Formats: sequence, C-alpha cells, structure tokens
Amino acid sequence: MSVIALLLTVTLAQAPEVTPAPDTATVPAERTWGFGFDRVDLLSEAPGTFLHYDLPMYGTGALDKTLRLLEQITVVWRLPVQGFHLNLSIGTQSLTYEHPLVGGLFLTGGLQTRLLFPSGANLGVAYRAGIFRLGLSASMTTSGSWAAPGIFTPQFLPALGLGIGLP
Amino acid sequence: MKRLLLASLIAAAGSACGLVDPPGAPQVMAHRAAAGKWPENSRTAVRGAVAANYPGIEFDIVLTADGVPVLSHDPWLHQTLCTHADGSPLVGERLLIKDLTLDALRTGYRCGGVADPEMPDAEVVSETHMTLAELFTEVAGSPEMTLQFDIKYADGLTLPAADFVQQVVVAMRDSGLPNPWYVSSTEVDFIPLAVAAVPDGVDVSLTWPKFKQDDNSTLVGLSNELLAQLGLGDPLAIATQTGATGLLLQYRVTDRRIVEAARARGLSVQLWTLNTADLLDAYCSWPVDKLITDYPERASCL
Repeated sequence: MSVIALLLTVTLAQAPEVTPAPDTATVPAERTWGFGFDRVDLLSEAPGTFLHYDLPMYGTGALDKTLRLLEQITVVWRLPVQGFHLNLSIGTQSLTYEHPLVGGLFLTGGLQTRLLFPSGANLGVAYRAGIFRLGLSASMTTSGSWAAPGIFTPQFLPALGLGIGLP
Repeated sequence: MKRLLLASLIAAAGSACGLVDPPGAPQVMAHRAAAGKWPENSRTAVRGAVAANYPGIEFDIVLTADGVPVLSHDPWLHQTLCTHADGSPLVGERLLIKDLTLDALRTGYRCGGVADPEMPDAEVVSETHMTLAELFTEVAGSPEMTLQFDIKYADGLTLPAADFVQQVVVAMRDSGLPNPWYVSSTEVDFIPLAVAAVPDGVDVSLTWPKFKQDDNSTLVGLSNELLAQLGLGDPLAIATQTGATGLLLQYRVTDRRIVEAARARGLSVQLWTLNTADLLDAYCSWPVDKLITDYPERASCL
C-alpha cells in the first residue's frame, strides 16, 4: 500500500503550482457554480474499500477485482447549491459537500447510500490542482441495504480519492 | 509546505491500509475429503484425509430412497464419474439417488473409477457410495477433525428437508462423536430446520451464491457480485433472515466488507474453494474461520 502512497505523492509533486494570481480557472472556490459535470473519481472515497480490500487481492482474480474497480468508479456532478455534489457509482451513491479552506484545499463531508438507502458517511479534506482532485477522509460504512435494512454494523476506514475532471 | 503536509497525510493513510483489520488464522478444510488427491466424497478420500491428519473435511450428503445418508455431491449419479457396477458408462436420463435404495445403489453403481479431468492428480478408485455411518466409524479415531456436512437437499430432486435434518443433523448430534462440526446448505428452507436441531455452538452456514446444474459459474458469480454491491442480494441479509449462524462464501464473489460485517455480527465465515498455493497464501491471513480446498497440502496455514 505504501507503493500507492508513493505514486500519489509523486503525482502530487508533479501537479502544477497554484499561483496566487486570481485566475478563476485555478481557484475552484471562486468558479461559477451550476449544475453540471465535475469529475470522475477513479478511486472513490465512498465506500473507500478498494485500496484496503480488493487491490491487495488482485492476484487472486483479476476479473473479479477489475469489476470491483469499475463498481467504485464514480461520476461526480455539481448540484445547483454551491459546494454540493452528487456522486454516482454502481456500488455507492452519495451526496457530498466541499467547503473551501485555502488555495485548492477543501473540507469535505458526505453521506453514502446504496440505491438511496443510507449506508455510511465521510469526513475529510480534498485538494484540487488543475484537473486533479485528491481526497483523504475517514469513511464509515455499514452493511445496511434495502435487502437488510435492520443490519447496522459500522466499519471505519481511512479512504483515499483520486479524481480527474474540470479544472 | 502545504503540498508536503498533504503528501504526508496520503503516506500515512497508505500505511494504514491493510492494518485496519486484524488478520485471522483460518482452519483448512479438505473439500469433498480432498478431491484433488482422491475421488471426491469417497471412502478412499475419507480414509486418506484421516491418515493425513487434516484439521477438517467437508463432504456432501444425499439421502437414498430408504433414507440412508450417502456421500455424493449431486442429488443424482454423476454421469461422468460414476458407472454401472460392471464399468459401463451411464447414459440417458439422470438417475436420482432419492429413487434408489441403498441396496440398489450399491449393487448397481460405482463412482470414482473414471479419471476426473478437473482433478488430474487424483487417484482413480472405483467404489460404492460411502454412507454417513461408515464415515462416523472412519473418523472415530480423530476426535479433533472438524466435520462439515454440506447438505445437498434440493426441492424435487431429493427427499424433503425434514428428512435431512433427521437423518443427518440429528444423527450427528446423537452420535456421541466429540468432533467439532457444522452444517451448510444453499437452501433457505432447510436452514431454519437445521438451526432448530443443532446443539449450541454448532453453526449452520448459508452457502452463497447458489449454483444450479449447468450454470455458468462466471456469470452466476458476476451477477451475484453486482446484486451484492447494489445491496439487493446481500448474503449477510439472507443469513440473518434465515437464522443461519455462518456464511459459506465462494471466494471470488466475497467482499471483505461483508466478511468483516458478518464476523462483527457473530457469524462464522468459511470460504470455498481455493485450490492454488497463491490463492491459499493470499487468504490464509484473512479474518475467516475456514478455507476449503481440494489440496490441503498447498495451504501454508495448514
């Protein structure tokens, strides 16, 4: 797993510096808001289990684990209310909020659902640099679903997100 | 500086990955009494497993027309691995074991005398079906060997579920054998009956997913994977609804999240069927109770 951390660190180091100039294209907090496409999260923070549970087992079945990868890839849409996003993947559908802190850094929070059944939450930070977005959060997930509405067994994991989208 | 801070946070999160759940120490179970070495569910296999001192064996049970439990993976005679007693191949219709008495089964048919293309290293030994009573005798000298009774009850293809409970579950309960044991089944109508019959501390596991004859295992696996991820076919939910106290999961569609949740709810977890050394190595550190394999010697955690 430290290899992944290293790769992401290198990616981050190669990202362009955010200049102090008030360029709306590189200061996400100030961009014009409105409903529309925001990004694709190749690694999603909701539920954030792929890096922990599936990637280390890739050698046991590439087809199955590739399916898990696809299941968690998330298309993120900006909602009309500033800071709110709708995150849609096969495995999880979530509503998230990003609050600008400083530069490209955001405080983030979100509610996870499985087919709109509440199934978890995230709280963390995100950093946007150009087309890249890196997220780091604490993820709480449960086994709750429409099939098992009475099951609430929380699990807590650190979650890493990697998104590519609009600058 | 901010970038350095963020990189440190990412590195810390990466380091935490894999350390969030404590590793387990699963017990290795010989699938069909080690079908990779001997004919599946055979007398030779059970004796071999006992001689090899495996920690546990899994075997499949079907009832004959006169209610005798015999070891067989299917409710019918396997058309490739079984033959007539004279060695001629089975052709034509499917022969259901529920339609044959034990005497008819033993005088008319043999299994294991044909090489199994899926188990190229297995011995070829032609035998009559082994009864559960014989198995009890064979394992009597191995009180620590765990026994997994995989019940092959199937509506319409076997005797009723209640007969399996009486002839297998109650028979084991009243046998006096000290061996650890548990029961597994894919059938949701069998599980509550078994749960009511087993003593405290004996698990009844839901086998998931359910494969039917001629199913494409990859397609069944993928469809169940999607249903589970969507929360529409969650094995944990099915286990909870049926009262099962364990989950017997095919490893390919096993979601570690479900494993963790199942254990947190007190359910035992068994994985099937892991047959390569690499696979067994990968799962030997998982927090599960049993790993089921045709090749127990390949498991580093044996």
